[in-house]
Amino acid sequence: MRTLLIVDDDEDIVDTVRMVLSRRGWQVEAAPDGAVGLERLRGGLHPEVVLLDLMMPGINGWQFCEELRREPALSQIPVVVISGAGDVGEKARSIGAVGHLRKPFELSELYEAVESATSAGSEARS
Amino acid sequence: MLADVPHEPIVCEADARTLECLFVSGEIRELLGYAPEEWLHRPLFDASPSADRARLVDACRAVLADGRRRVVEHEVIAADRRPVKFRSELHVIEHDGVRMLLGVLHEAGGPLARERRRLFAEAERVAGFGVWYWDIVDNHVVWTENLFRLFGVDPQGFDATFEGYLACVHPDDRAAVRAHIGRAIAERKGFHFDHRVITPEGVRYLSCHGDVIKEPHAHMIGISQDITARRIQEEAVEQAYSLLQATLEASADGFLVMDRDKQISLFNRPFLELWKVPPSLSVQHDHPALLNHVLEQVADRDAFLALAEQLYEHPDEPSFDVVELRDGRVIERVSRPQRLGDQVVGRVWCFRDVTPRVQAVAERQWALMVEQKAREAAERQHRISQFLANASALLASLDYETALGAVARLIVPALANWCAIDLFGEDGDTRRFASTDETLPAGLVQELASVTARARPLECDPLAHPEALRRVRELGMKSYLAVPMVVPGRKLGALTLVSTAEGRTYGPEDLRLAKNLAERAALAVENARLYLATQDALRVRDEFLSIASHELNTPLTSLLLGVQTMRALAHEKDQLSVEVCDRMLGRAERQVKHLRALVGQLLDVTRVDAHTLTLEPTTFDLSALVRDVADRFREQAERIGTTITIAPSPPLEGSWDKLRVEELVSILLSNAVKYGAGRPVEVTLEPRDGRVSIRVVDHGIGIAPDQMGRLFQRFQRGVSSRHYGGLGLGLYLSREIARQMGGEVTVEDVAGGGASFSIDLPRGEAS
Repeated sequence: MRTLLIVDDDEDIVDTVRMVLSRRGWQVEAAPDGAVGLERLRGGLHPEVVLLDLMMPGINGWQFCEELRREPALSQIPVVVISGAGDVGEKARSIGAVGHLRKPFELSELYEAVESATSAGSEARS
Repeated sequence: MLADVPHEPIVCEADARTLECLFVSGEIRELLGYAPEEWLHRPLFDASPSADRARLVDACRAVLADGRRRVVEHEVIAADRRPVKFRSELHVIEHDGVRMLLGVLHEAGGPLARERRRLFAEAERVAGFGVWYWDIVDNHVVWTENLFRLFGVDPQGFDATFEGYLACVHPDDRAAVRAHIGRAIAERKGFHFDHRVITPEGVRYLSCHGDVIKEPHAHMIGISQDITARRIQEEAVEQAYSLLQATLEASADGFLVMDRDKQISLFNRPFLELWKVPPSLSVQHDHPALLNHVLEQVADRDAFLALAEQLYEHPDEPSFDVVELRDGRVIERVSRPQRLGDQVVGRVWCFRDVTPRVQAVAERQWALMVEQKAREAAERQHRISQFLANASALLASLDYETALGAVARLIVPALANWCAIDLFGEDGDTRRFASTDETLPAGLVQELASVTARARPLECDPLAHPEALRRVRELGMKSYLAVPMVVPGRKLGALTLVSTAEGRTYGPEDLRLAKNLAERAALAVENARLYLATQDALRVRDEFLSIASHELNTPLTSLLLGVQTMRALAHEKDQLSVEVCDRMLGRAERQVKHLRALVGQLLDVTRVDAHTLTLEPTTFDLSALVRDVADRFREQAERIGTTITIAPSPPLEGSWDKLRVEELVSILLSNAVKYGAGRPVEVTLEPRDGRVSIRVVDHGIGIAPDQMGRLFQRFQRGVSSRHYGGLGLGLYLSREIARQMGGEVTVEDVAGGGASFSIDLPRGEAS
């Protein structure tokens, strides 16, 4: 089963994403902020994709990515950025994300972003 | 016979019958001026006067009759009409049987007389005169040889009468000569007149002096002297004098000639006009009065006289000075010694009215001065413009604090030795940008800083205190100037200048420049602040838009995903259970309410801006409402470990807009839970003096000091927007709503961390 880590402080979004992706065979792990997310990753969690909300309390999405890039073991994990900002694409590229979802996004966009990130991660590893 | 003659005689022989001359010796030329051949065949005594002629003829006949020698004294008229006395011896001689009469004429006086005559004739020639004789009765004129020469007349052709003489006079002078002669004869006394004659050499002037002799025989004698040279000189002198007179009169300068005895020799008409000498004074020849009239007009009489006296001591010295008259005129006075040969005989003074020239010079100097001042003013204005341009260039920077410091350094030392630009802060602080001339005493710098810092310049006069003024003056301050920096409606600060330079006292021009500079500085500061505020507002707006976008899109995302998921599940058999539906729809409801709250805030902000926020007061129990709102936040609070405690309170009935009060309490409780860091939140209600206070206290992250002042502004957040959600409108709305209800919302720090927000509302009468 493929594993996905969603780092987002909005419980409703986390529940909804878990519900829809689990139906597609994903194991969805969640972290309410960047610190918890990093802790899970350093603790051995190896998701194929990370869905990352940029605006969170504590360590936000930007800081999460900076930490991720510092650790070679984690730097290859593809990240898909979630944000309501108009320039989310630019923000995503600036932090090295492989994809982005602009709120409010649809289920089809979620599926596509996750699958694209997964493929990108596979190519990077190979 | 002749050999015994002691004197040179004239020997003549005459025919005894006719008494015509047959021979005359050559001496006749010497004695009488005739050539011997002129006498041939002429009667022997033809040249004698008629009175002598008869006696001579009788004597000759007597000699011829008895043969005895006779001696006769008689005259012979010489060729020059001069009578010459002779003593003649008459003899009868025979030669070859022919009887002849021999006459030996001895001049009376002999050789001595001839010598005298010769000398006299020489004297005539040297002195330029000739002697004349006029027998008035016989009208017979006798001239000396030199007189003939003076008249330029040939003696042989001369009519020896008065008329003959008159004919030799210049035609224009004949009438006058005749009149002089006639008057002399009538008055029988001496006379003198001058007349002209026309000679082959030209016009000659003769001066005729004569006398009338009555006895024994009326005649007139006299001399005529050649005065041609003298007359030419006189005419030349007269012409020169006439030229001098004309020149003096034609000159614009006044001339005065004075002799060594300080007497006036000459002055011209311009002199009289220049010194305004009245005609009566000029014709009186009262020289002291004339000189006094001149002196009366001189401004410095003593100096005027002193130079004149000095020059009398030094007659050879020329002089030049300028004299001011009492009527305002200016006269140049020049003098030169008057010489006659090598001797100084007087002094020539020349006076020239140079008033127009002096005025023109003064006017030109005035014009030059005006031009110079205008040029200096233009240069000064250019310097001022350049200075202001430089200052404006510095003030163009948005970093106005750096710019003000640069402007202060620009002012010193160009305008002042010490300069301070003060910016007044809203909290009462003052930021100062100062610059000091390095030559300024350190004590003065400190004193100035101290004196002007004790009170804001222009809000009160820092130098009004006598002691302060005395101190800064002692330390070298010479001038002080302070102007406000104002923009419409506000005083931003002050510009203060101090000068320590001698003679550098601030005046109106400095004040204008300082005001101009202060205005530019104030404008620059205001523009920079407005720009920065605008930039800040734009940043806040952009940040708000970003936050709003996030805050609104987040529940929408959950809503959209939920709806799409439910639709997807609805198409799969047995996937959409009641439990799933309840959970998902519940989530959707929550998100919609959250969106409603957010939209409501945005709409309320719009209403507040448009002053269309309406209140609908009703009577209710405030305590109960607070408890209800707290209950709604408990679940959220408990999720993060926060407890909400409400202090016991009796019912608080009053009239308020229930929804708005609920909104106020919700905003404060929401913030307290969000920023409470999981620590307890306390709510208290306190009625007091017709008002009621609701306080919400948390012990969370608190509020940074620099955020306190902006906490209740729109789009302001007391925390990082990256860490916490919300639109940043809550506190702004809470205060606006409270104020519209007649109340206020305030905030205080809590010791140990956290914040305490209070809502103060009027109680309102319960209806």
